[in-house]
Amino acid sequence: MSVIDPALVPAPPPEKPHLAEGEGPWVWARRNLFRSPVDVVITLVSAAVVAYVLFRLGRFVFVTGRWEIVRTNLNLFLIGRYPRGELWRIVACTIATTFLIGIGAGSSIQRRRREFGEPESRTLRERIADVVQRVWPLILGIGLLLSMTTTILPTLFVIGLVVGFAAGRLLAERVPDRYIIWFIFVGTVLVGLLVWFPNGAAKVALVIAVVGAAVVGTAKLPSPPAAAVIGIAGATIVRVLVSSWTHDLIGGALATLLAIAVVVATSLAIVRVREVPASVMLWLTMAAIPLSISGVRLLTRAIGWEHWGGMMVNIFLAIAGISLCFPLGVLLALGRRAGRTGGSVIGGVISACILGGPVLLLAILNGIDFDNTTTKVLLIMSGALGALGFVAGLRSSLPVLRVLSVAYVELVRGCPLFVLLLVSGSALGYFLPKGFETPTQIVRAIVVFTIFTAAYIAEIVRGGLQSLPKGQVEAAQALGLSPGRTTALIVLPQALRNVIPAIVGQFISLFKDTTLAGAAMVGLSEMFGVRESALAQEAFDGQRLIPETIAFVMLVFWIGCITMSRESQRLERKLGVGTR
Amino acid sequence: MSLDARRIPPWRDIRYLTWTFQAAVVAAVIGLILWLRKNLHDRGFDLNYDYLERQAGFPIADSDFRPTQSVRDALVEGLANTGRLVVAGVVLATLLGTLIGIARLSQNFIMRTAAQWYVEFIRNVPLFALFVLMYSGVALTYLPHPKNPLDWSPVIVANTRGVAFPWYEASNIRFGIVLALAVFAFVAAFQIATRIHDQTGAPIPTLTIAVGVGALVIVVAWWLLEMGVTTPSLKGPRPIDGIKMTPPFFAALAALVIYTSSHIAEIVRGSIQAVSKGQGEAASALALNGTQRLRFVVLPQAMRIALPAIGNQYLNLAKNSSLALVVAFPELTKVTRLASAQGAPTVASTVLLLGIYLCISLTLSLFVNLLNRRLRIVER
Repeated sequence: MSVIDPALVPAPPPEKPHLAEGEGPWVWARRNLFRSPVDVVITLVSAAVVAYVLFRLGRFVFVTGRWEIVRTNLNLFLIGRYPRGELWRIVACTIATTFLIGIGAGSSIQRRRREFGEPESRTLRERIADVVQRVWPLILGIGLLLSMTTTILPTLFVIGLVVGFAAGRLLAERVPDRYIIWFIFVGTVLVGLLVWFPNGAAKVALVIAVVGAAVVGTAKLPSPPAAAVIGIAGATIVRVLVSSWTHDLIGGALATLLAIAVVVATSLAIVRVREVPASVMLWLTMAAIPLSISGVRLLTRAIGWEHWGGMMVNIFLAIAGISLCFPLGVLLALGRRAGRTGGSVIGGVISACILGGPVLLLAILNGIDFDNTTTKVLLIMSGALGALGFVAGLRSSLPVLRVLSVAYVELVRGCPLFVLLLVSGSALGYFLPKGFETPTQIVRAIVVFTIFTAAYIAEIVRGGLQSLPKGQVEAAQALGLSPGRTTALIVLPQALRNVIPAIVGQFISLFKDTTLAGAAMVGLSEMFGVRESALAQEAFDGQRLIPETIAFVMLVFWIGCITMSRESQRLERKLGVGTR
Repeated sequence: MSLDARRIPPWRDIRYLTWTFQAAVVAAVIGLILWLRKNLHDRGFDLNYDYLERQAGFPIADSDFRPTQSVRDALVEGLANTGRLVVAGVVLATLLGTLIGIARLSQNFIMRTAAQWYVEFIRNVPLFALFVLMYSGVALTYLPHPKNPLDWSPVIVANTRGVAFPWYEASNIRFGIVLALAVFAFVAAFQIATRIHDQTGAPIPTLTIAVGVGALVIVVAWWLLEMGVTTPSLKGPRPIDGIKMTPPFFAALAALVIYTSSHIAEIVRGSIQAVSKGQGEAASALALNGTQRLRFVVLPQAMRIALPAIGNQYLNLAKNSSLALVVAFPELTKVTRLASAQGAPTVASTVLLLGIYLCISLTLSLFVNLLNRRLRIVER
């Protein structure tokens, strides 16, 4: 007989209180639909309204809608008038991008596995169910679009994207970090060389030489990336000296200089730096810059930006805007808090002069004449700018940086994006010297989106920086970390994690605002512009097909935005925003 | 360890570094400005605002503006149009947004789900798409043709040339006076009734009394100041009298209101959910009924969280009103472009346009900041 002290046995947990007598659909209905007489009325009325709306919508989508215009013009909607023969460039760039994203995902999974141990294994069915539950709008949309295509190629493209991502992820999960970094480095240099020095037969020889040298270099020297650098540099020198020296004089000279610079820099780095940072994400981010430059060159070498059109333009503008505006926004946010407080009025005066001075100078040069409208407007502007500058630079030891950041953010945030796009045609031209031609619409649009969104990101990140307790920075200083390392390792990760929902919301807004670029700029045909030209085609003119085209375009944007916002909510939950 | 005062070398001394860095930044900015000036000079730039006094040379749809008036008057008319759009949009968006936000928290399943899907749909759709939808899809398609218009005169009259409602007939100043008196009476009655309730504890319906007093003051002042009401009617194809809402204005207002109200609904829902549940339970423990719990405990705390975000949405609405030019509504940006097409210098008018939007934004955000500061929790 076992003797157990009753005081040591914990009491069983209390049962969950039931709201009504039992469980079941009728109980749920009573709780949610028929709680009180007023509730019954509300239920009946709203059910009638919702049923009517759904009925009209269903009838429009499935019965009375004439979707021929969308079916025949699907290519136009998605890629505009891009020459079909050059589509491989876009396909190559996109699949390469998903491959790299897969590598990033895989390496973070590997890191988490190293730190937290193996996660509980899940069956393939559970994993598929999880993915479907996450991105069902996207899957539905892609299925819908693919069902309207006529050839097998779009389906192959989508399969290629998925395979690229899966391959990258599998590769980064199994292979140790050092070899991934080596792979990224070699791949970047390889892609750069292939794109920028495209001589036919020399390309093959170049590839063989580079890979061979890298393999040889890895086996003997201590640090794989350093070894790869030396190997590739040597191979490039060999290539330049052996082949195409006489055909491509300038290219060859450039390649030689580049190789010499790379060798010198790497030797210095090996001697001075103790250890190479072994974070895959860091190397991925650093490699993204030369890779994007090579990608842009690949895309624009044969065809200009004018041939782009359709949804491709929206996606490209969004991605370019997001990647370019984020560093600028973070720098502006840091600049706005630059310097220790404890400056003096002199800082404010200096800032006021910096902001208001040029405009005042302009007014004086035009001649001060108080009846003239010009003088009045300019004096008012210089006074306002001076006041803004004074307030901004008042208490800082780095007043210049602070006032410039504040001026940029406040001035850009006050303007509507649409107006900025409208005036970008004339305004951007003034920033370039006389010989340059005005850049094409896409480039102008990207510049305006970057400038505009960076100001918003700066405000959001500033909020995040302010939410950080001062004790973190003080602890970092007590540990002897320099200001740069404090910011990069302590302040920014915490601040950015706190404002992820706001940042992703801003990116979603940017994606939606890419439609404005088509409205503001003549000649930039993104999806809405394509819609207009599709409606004007002879086969569909005058048939009042407006609701069908609008519904299709709105559906595409809705799918993109809701996928992004659900992913951001999931990311928030995973990172524990708001809980600690 | 002895600390002998060695001189810090300049490349590590923070004071030298700070000022050198700043001098470099200033030099870079001055260089940029000089380069800009040189480019502008090469391209024949002239910041001259005399064009404001010239004749406009273009009409503005649906207004009293004549092409012989100056460009400055045209800009004022455009600004007035923008103002109408923004004020009407703010009022309607707040009402609709609050209702939808509260519906999202309702205990009724259908209301909750319908509101959730509505908000999830509208928030993830571009505003430009809503403008196009409202104009081509709704205003031009569903409004009746002038041949058989909707004629419920004197209440409402509608066809594709416009929708007309009854409106007051007097100068704007008188209407302003009536409105100011009504608001003053409302606030005064509310304060007095609340004070009596606080001191005596008698259950006085303060809100109802205040609304009644306000309505009474409106009626009395209306009669005293001899203000009239115009009712709409149709003359041929055009609605006359009353206040007319043209299809572009209707489309722009509808799109802006729908878009902004969905954002406000999310903010309202988030702010009410952010008030901790313990507050509501404590209010119930103190025997406050549902309405009292909302009014005295939950809403004041929720408003503190919601107000900066809602103010931000108002700012967004003011800036998004510039999109109304795609539906041919003559607001400020469109008028500026019309003036530029007639020969006004591009750079000067651009700077003026951006300056006006900047003023509107900064003023609105100043108000929001002041309100925020009054409502903020003062911490140690």
